[in-house]
Amino acid sequence: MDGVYVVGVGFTKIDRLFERSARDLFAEAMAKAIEDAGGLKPNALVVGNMTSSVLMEQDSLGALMADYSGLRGVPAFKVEAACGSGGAAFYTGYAIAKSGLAEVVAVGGVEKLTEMPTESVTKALAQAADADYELIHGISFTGLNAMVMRLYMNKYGYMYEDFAHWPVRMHEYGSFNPYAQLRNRVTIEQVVKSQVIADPIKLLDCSPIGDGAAVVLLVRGEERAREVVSSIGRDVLIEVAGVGLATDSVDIASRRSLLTLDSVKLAAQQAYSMAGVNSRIIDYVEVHDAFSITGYVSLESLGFSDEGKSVKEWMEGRFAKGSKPEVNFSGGLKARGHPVGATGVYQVAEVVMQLRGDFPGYRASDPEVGLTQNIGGVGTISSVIVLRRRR
Amino acid sequence: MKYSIPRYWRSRRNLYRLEAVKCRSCSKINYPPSTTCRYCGSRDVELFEVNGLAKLITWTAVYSEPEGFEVFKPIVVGVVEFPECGVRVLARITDVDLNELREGLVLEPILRKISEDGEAGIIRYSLAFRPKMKE
Ligand SMILES: [Zn+2]
Repeated sequence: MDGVYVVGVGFTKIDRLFERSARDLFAEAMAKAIEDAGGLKPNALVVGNMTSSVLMEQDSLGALMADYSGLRGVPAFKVEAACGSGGAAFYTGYAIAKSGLAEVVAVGGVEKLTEMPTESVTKALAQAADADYELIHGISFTGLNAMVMRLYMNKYGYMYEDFAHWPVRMHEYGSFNPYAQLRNRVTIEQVVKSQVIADPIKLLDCSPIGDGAAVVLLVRGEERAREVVSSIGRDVLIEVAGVGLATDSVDIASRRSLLTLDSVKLAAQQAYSMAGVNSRIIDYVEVHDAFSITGYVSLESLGFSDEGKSVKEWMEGRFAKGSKPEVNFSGGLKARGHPVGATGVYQVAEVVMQLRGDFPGYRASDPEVGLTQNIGGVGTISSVIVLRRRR
Repeated sequence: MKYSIPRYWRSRRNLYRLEAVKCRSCSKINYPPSTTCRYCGSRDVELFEVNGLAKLITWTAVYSEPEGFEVFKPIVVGVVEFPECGVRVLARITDVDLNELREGLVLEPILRKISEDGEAGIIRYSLAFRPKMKE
C-alpha cells in the first residue's frame, strides 16, 4: 500500500499572544505550511484542540479554522484528547490520507490559553482528569503529576535536585529556538528555588501557559510526494513510517502502575511494529515533557531507558547531542512551550525539520529516523509517531 | 447555581460511600465501580463495599489550586490503598501536618465538606482520609 508523507510544515511562535486570536494564529500556521509545500492546497482538515469550548466559548472549531485559513467547504473537524489532541489529530489525519478519502490532508493544532485568568486555565486543563473521582477532591493537573513524581522519588531513591537537570537542558535548547516561548537559560539553583506549585513539582518543572498553532500537510503515495517536494527544490522525503495511539484509565489510582505509562508503551509498540523498527533504531525524539517527571517516565515507557534509570542517565549527559536518541532540541514542552492541542503537531513539524536538516534552532546530528510522543492526561491517551527520511 | 442536581444525586455513591463492584465472572474488584468489568468485559457484577483502613501510597500538597478550592490551600491529596482488596482511591487527606505524611501512613475514611453553592445551593461533602486516631 502507498505510504503517507509529510510535505509541508508551519507554526507560529508560542507566547502569551493577547493581541491575536486563535483563528489568526491558525491561519498563519496554515499559510506557512502551504508555502512550505509549494502552494499545495489541502482538501481536508483535522484540528487538534482541547479547551476551545471552555476558554474560548467556541465549538465548530474545524469549520471555523477551515474558513479562516482559506479552506471554506472542505471536510474539517476537531479532535479532542486533552493535551494529546495534536497527536490524536495526526493519527486521524493519517488515516484519512492513507485511505485515499482526501488527497491532501492538513493536520493542525491550535490552543488559546491566555483568554482567561490562571485559575480558570488551571481548572480547564484539570478537566483532562476524572471529573467524578479526581477533580471533585480539588486536585489540579500538576497535582496528579506531582503524586507520580513523589512515588518515583520514593521508589528509586532520587532527590528533588536530580530532576532539575531536565528544565536546565530544555531552557538551553529553547534559547536557540526562535519559536520557543521560553528562551532564557536557567540554573539548577534557580529550578530548586522556584515556587512550589504542587509539592514536589516546582514552577520551573512546569511547561508554561501559552498560545500557538501548528499545521502539517500529508499526501499519499511516494510519486505524488516527490512531485510536491521537488517543485520547491527539496530532495528529501519524510515518510510517516508508523503511528500508534492507545488509552489507559482516566483516573490514575486504578492504573496497573503509576510509574509506567501503559498507553505510551502500547502506542509505541504499534508505531514501532508498523515502521519495522525498535527503540534502539531511533535517532531523534520529541517527548511530551509537560513536567520534568513526565519527560523521564516518557523516555522509560518508550523503551529508551529502564524503569527508574532515566533520571540518572540524563544527569550523566545521556540524550544530549551525540546520544542515541537525541531528545527535545526544540526545548520541549518545557521551553518551546505547550499550546496544549497544538503541541503534538509542533512535535511532528519539528522532527520533520530535523530530518530535513532545516530546523531553525539547535540541530540534531543528521538523524534518519525520528519519533514524537504526545500525551493527554497523565498518560490517559497517548500517541507515538515514527518518521523516516528518504532520499 | 453551579452544580447539576441530578449529577450530584448520582454522585452520592462516590462522594459519600466507598462502593466498588466485584465481577462474578473473573472475581476482580473494580474501583471506580463500573457496570461492565474493565478486566474481562462481563456485565455480571455485584456491589462490593470497601471497608477498613487504608495506607498512603503517594501524595501532594497543591498550592496552585483549581477555581473553587481556594479556601483549602494547600489542598493535600493522596492515593491510598486498602491492603485487603487492593482498591486504590484518590481523595483529600485531612487533619494532618505536611511533615507527618509518609508512605504507608495508616488512614481512615471520613466525610468532609468541600463546597457551598451560594445561599440556596447544594452544600457538598466528600470522602476524605485522615490519620487513624490512636485507640
Ligand atoms: Zn471481570
